[in-house]
Amino acid sequence: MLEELKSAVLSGEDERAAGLTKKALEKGIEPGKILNEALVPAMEIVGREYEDGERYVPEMLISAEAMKAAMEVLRPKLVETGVQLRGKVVIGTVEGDLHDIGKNLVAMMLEGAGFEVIDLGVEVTADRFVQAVREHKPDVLGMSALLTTTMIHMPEVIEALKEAGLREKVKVIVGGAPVTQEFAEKIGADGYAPDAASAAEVVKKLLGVN
Amino acid sequence: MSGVLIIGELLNSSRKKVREALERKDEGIIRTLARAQVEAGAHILDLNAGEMLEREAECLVWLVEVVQDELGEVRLSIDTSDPGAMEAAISACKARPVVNSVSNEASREGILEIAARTDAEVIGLPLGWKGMPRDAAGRLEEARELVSRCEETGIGRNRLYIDILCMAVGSDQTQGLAALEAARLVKTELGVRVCGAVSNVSFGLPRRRVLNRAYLAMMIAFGVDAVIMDPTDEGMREVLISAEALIGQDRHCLNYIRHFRKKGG
Repeated sequence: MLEELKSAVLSGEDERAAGLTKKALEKGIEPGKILNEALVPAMEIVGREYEDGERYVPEMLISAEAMKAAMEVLRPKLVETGVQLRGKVVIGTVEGDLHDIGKNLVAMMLEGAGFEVIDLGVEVTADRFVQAVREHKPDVLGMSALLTTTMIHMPEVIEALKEAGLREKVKVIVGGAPVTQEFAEKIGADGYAPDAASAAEVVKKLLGVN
Repeated sequence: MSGVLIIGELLNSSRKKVREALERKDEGIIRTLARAQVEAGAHILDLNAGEMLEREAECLVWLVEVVQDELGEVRLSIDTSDPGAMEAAISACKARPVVNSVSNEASREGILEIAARTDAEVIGLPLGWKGMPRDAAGRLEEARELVSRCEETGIGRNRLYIDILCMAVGSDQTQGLAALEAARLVKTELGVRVCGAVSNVSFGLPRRRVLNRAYLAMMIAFGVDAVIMDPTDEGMREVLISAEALIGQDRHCLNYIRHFRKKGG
């Protein structure tokens, strides 16, 4: 059953994934077990294959959709049984930047890795990032920028977090085409990931979960 | 020579080789890339130094000077959103430059003003008034607003190219056709020329060159006037020449014949 669910996620069949999740719950399989032994490993494979260049963006997107469909069935049961997610991540594309493909992929990979993700969308100002950190108390804040002209807002957000006294309460990760490890270090971010699959790894490492 | 205007995309600081050349002020790499693109048929060379951050203006002017020293009077497209860098680079251009780019975003007003003060041609991104358009009608709506803003500041339609916003079909399969339909709509409704950057379309997919070539042929068929691309990709050149012959833009197919006669096939 769980193997079947895993393969439905891998091949990106959303209806089948939702149906199998429902069936697994009806059979009495624990929600936490469904998450950790089918969905999370499936998305780990997806991430690895993407990194290795065996899987392409659309194939990654349909797997993420299937995972999402399964999570919709599973989430209420997870809450009921008090299963803890691995952590909470607030994510968004910075001010002036309308690009969302990369940010969406990162959000999906994080959900697939068992994190709760709050997606603020695109063109997120420093104020909104700070407000979201205050409100949701995430473990990690992720910022995306696809333009050299908008990545300059990343240090502004970090500065705003400091001013609000929140910098020590949240790990900051950055990514997007023009962003480099060097830039991330220069602006005082805690982590950088070159692509969506490694973003999940970086978050896991920062939070000390695996 | 093709009827479509080819804007060479290779001198861009998001490419590692160019970034390193800018960091080391290595003229050789820049000269080679500039010459190769023009010899391959580029009419205009796009110059971008955005990744150099605070050194952008200085690097952009250096690029202009090196490329002009290599090629003489060559048309350059200055690709920056920083008004200071734009102004400095435009002033260094010997031939009529292209301002790349203006949009409806408030942050691009400075660029719009600089463009209006010169005789440069201007690339306009149809976005930022209501947001990022997702379909052809949305692109037309933003383009209409942008054309009127340009005319108000003194940039006539005849100086303008509206970019059709080619986006990755890997993440949204409606985007390929949306941009193409926008090309036709913007041309007929607004009477302004259109341009597009081919390679965005193939992001996240295998064998990107194959997809880029197919899309280039479609762009030509939908009337795109200027294409931002890698002119040194021989496959792209072949598609360009073929597509123009196929839609009656190559009289007696002479350009096609000339290009392929010796090669056979």
